[in-house]
Amino acid sequence: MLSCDFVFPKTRKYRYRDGWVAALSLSVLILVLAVLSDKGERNRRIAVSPLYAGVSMMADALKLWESQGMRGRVLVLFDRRLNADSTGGADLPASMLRETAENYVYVAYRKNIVRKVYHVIPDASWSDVEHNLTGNPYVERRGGGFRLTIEGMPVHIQRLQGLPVIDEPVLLIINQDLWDNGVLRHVAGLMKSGVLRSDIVLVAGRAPEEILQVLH
Amino acid sequence: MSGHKGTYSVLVFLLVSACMVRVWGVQEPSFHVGDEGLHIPAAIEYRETGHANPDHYAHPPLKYHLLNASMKVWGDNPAGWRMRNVIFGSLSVAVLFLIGIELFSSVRVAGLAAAFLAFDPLHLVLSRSTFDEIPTVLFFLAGLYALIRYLKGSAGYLPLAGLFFGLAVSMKWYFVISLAAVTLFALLATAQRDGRRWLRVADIVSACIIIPVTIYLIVFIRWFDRGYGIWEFIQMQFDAYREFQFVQAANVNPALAGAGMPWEWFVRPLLTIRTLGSEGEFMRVLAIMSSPLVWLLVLPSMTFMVYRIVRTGEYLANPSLVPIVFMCTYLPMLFIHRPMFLYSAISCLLPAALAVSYTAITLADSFKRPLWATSVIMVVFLAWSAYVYPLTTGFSVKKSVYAPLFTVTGSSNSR
Repeated sequence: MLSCDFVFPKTRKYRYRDGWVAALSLSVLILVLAVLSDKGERNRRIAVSPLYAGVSMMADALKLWESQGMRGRVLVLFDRRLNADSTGGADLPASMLRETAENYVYVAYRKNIVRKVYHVIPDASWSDVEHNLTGNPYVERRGGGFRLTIEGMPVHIQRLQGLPVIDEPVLLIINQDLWDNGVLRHVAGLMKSGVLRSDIVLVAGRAPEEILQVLH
Repeated sequence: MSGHKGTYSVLVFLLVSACMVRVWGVQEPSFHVGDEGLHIPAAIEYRETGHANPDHYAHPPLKYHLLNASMKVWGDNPAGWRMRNVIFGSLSVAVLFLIGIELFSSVRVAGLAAAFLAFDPLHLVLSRSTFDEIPTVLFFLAGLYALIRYLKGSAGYLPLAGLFFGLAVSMKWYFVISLAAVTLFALLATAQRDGRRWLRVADIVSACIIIPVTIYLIVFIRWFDRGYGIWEFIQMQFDAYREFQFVQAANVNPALAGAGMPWEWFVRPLLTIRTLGSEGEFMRVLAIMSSPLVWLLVLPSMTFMVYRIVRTGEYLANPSLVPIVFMCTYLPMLFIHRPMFLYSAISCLLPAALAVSYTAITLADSFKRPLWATSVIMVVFLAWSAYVYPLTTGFSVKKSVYAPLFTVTGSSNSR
């Protein structure tokens, strides 16, 4: 019959003390967690001095972020549409992507300018958005809003009152045409109180200077 | 491995043979075949930006690091794309042989199992491509080997087991449940033999969980470069798992999906071909196929092994690892909420090959001349392997020679 080693050898004297693998591996894990956590934070580039500017189109924001050397940032987007259309871009290298009004947030993600998005929807459009997203298997209901991912980029979709406290300065961009001054004053209040901190505030629309004054 | 006459010679012979059949003509075809068109641009994009386009972001990124290393050594050409798998595929054969020796103390069982893997047409074709399954299987095999050595008394192998298990889960998630199972097995086996030694328990848990988690984190270093933190990493892992539930077979590769779902893998012959060229009576194809001579024996052999283990009552003896790893790898694929394709069967092949080999040698030993019977099994297997080998390489073959095979298997054409 086949000779099978169906029993363990009885001699079990290791040359090493028990526990050294546990001690060493736990220490290394803690070190790695600390290093990676620090690495993530260090790779977020924040503007040296705060910038409040108007842009003629929302998509122009991308060039401005690039020129300021932004990297690894949270974007808070006040707009009806997310403009992160990845159609046709998913197969291309980031260097070959060209931004459009429909995909500039996606391009910013692929170029590592943006890592996460909070998409704030105007109240008037919320019922539409809710209708579109409810029942979509790719979208999770989170509190009063929604959460989805686009190629791994987390996108939180909510109304202004659902915007959480974000514990780092964000890139803020507002489509002025969709928000009245009352709402923008509310945003300004959030910024003054430190609930929402931003180093680059961009406003696109008819009279951005007026709004920027409110926000500044 | 001591005490086995000729063991090293067999090991070297198997390693060289496995390497030769994998490297021969690996530069052809000179263009991207199948998923190479995803894997290679994704590796380059990962190096440049930390994104995995056009591949899926949810896969662990060690595969991109290794593919980039391969292309750094051999260049961005067919050799650079495929040599990673040639080397890892060949090494898998050697490590499977070593595991066979450790589990069964039999050169014949180990040698036959390694030969099954060395000449398995699916393992061959994937070893000559960029599929992630080949390194994944090697790393898990190496981890298992190191764990068995530890259980047999070589303490220094324990962190090595953790290292290789970590590399395996950092390639693909195939072996996560198997890793949990072998951890439990190691804990129970150690407790049965040595009593409750909590520091030893801590060592095993650390090697099988903490070291793999640490390595898994490290391979995501380019992802952390993009500004993410640890909590975002944990959330991303849940997102990745969730996204896999939505993968549709039709969106990935309908022809490959038609080549056989997991329940079919070990119950009927499977073959899907990609035609590379055709000229008169001759054609060049790449076949993703099962090896019926071995694969159809997997389930009976595994049953036989379980029966032998139950009969001896030694549930925590090392050979029990064979059915444990098989069940913990194969069963989840039967029930998981996403399509699994034939190439994923590679992850089940290592215990499968050992079980079939064990059963075949046990049968051969029931004959009056066991060595003669073993030789007959080997010759039949090698003849079959030689017949299907050209289909795994894209070499030019005569259509009429393979027409019966295509007819019997009802082969489909993949993209």
